[in-house]
Amino acid sequence: MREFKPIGFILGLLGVFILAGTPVRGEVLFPDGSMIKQKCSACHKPDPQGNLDVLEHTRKSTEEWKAVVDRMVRLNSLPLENENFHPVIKELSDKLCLSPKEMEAVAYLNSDENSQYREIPKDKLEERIFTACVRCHTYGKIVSHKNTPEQWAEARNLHLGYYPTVIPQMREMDWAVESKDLIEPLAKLFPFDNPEWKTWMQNRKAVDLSGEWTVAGYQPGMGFYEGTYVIKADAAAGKDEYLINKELRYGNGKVLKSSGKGTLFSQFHLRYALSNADKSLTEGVFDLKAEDMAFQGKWWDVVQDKNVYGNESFAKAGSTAKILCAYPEALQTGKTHKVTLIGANLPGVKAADIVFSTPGLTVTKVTQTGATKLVCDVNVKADAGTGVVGVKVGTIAYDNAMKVYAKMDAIKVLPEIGRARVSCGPAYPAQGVQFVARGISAGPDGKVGTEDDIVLNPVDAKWSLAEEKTRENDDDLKYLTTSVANGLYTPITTYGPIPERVQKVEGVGLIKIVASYNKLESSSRLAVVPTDFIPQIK
Amino acid sequence: MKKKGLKAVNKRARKMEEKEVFGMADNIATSMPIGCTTIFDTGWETNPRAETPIGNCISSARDFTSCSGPCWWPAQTPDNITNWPDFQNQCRAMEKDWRNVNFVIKR
Repeated sequence: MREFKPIGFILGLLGVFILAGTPVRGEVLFPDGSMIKQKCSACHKPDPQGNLDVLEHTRKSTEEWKAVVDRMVRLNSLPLENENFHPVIKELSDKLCLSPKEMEAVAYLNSDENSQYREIPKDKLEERIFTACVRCHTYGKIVSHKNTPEQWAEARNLHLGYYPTVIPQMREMDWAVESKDLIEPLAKLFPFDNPEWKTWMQNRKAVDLSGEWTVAGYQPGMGFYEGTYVIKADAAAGKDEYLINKELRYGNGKVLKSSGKGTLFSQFHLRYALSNADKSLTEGVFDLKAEDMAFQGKWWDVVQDKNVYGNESFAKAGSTAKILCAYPEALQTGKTHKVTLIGANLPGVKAADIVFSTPGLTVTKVTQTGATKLVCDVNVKADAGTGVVGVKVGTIAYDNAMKVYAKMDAIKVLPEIGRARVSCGPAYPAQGVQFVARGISAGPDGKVGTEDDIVLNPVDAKWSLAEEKTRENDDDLKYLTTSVANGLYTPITTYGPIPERVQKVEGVGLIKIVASYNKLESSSRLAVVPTDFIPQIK
Repeated sequence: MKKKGLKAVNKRARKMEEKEVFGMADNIATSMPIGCTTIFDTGWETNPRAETPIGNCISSARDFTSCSGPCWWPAQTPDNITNWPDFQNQCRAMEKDWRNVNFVIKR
């Protein structure tokens, strides 16, 4: 505490002014030398405690801080040089971030591929928020913000000021009233003051990513892969900046090498941009579970005409022994299967050391061992029973490792509805959808299409397109038809009006994609839609 | 899609009440992947309407300027007041200029 003894009226007044800009108690998030204090405090004035107005009453994901600071530059004349944009986002993300648990809820939104994720409201309140907000935004965007009640009110004011037509556009409700009524529930659902976040912040430790990491993942259309990350600190670029080399080895023998740079935000949120050996560009976003030193997240191809992406985990070599991935995902009863386990710091084991949670599965032979990979033959008895099983390698447990099934009764195409986008010039390449056909086992009730269905491994299906008739003279398929290799649909149509179509409609429509495998057939709906012109608002 | 207390009075309105013509579930707003524009009835995205004209934004290029200007949909098209006051410099006639537009902000 700084002691201040006013001598007289003038000095007293002077003291008030000095105190107004000086930290006098508690932790100051952004001290005088910080980039945020220098760049933001011209408008976001510090209070007597040195806390910056507005700014320190709100927390966001790194991705939302980017959107907000970009808006400050474009619309509020923030004089921020391009080279300082990244440091500003780093500093904001470091101090006013989400906790890993909070981030987990919105992790699906942080990647930039043509995501087929579907948000479903789970109660009445979420339905109200969906109705009022999730017509222009995703629900995830709202969940990515944690504000004080006053700042939730300001978010409403921002919309009324910047986007006043929200009132007539949302005319089937009284948006001005409904959005006001939602301030309190939003402040409770997504509060700035969250004890869980505070505790995490107090216990957060700086992490060093330098070293070798084991990676295991799944790329729809390509299957499982394993590989390594070699991460080095990029001292020249600054703290939490890294040079990354990645090598992936797929089951079909393909090897993909990439290298580039990444940044660790908030000591757990890694974003990277890599150049691949085939000249394509990959970006990735991953969140760290610090106690395990293991990341989980997603990477995607930057130019999305193929919608290539992968979900993966990677763990630091030498960290706590753990299993990251086990494949194949499903084992049929009455057969012996070759099973691969990928992990970190795995012990050398014999067949007897690998035990499944059900006695019907036994390891007959270990064919490969190593610190990161273990391959073994697993015999599944005919009467092993069906369902999810876990596995233990020595003392390392891996729950929900794989599924056991008796018979493949059907196949199913996923996602159930795919949304592709037509191309619209160089700025907007086509966005495809990677469909995957998986086997389905009917489960205990013997019926397909019920909740107890067991979803099995991907099958090598034949793909075709069919009309989904939604109106008289439905001509969508005529324009949208193209070859579908390995479940990947990439629109060949563009945003350009097609003169012979009714009303010169562009190459959009709703069709079906059909997979056939061993006399089994399944289809999904495929919506080919116009361009997402404003991808930054999602 | 049928609203309580409202009765269809003509052929087209009656068709709109038939669920199957949409080819979609009732909850169209939440059955689409994230990033879809759910604000338009059945979505700008697909417009699987019963009859021609198939939708309110068909073709999209035809309505593009209206959506950016007088209707002003800032999350779907470049709005002409706040974010993209000069958007028409890129597309005086969207049906011809669509190849050249770029409203992507990525940092």
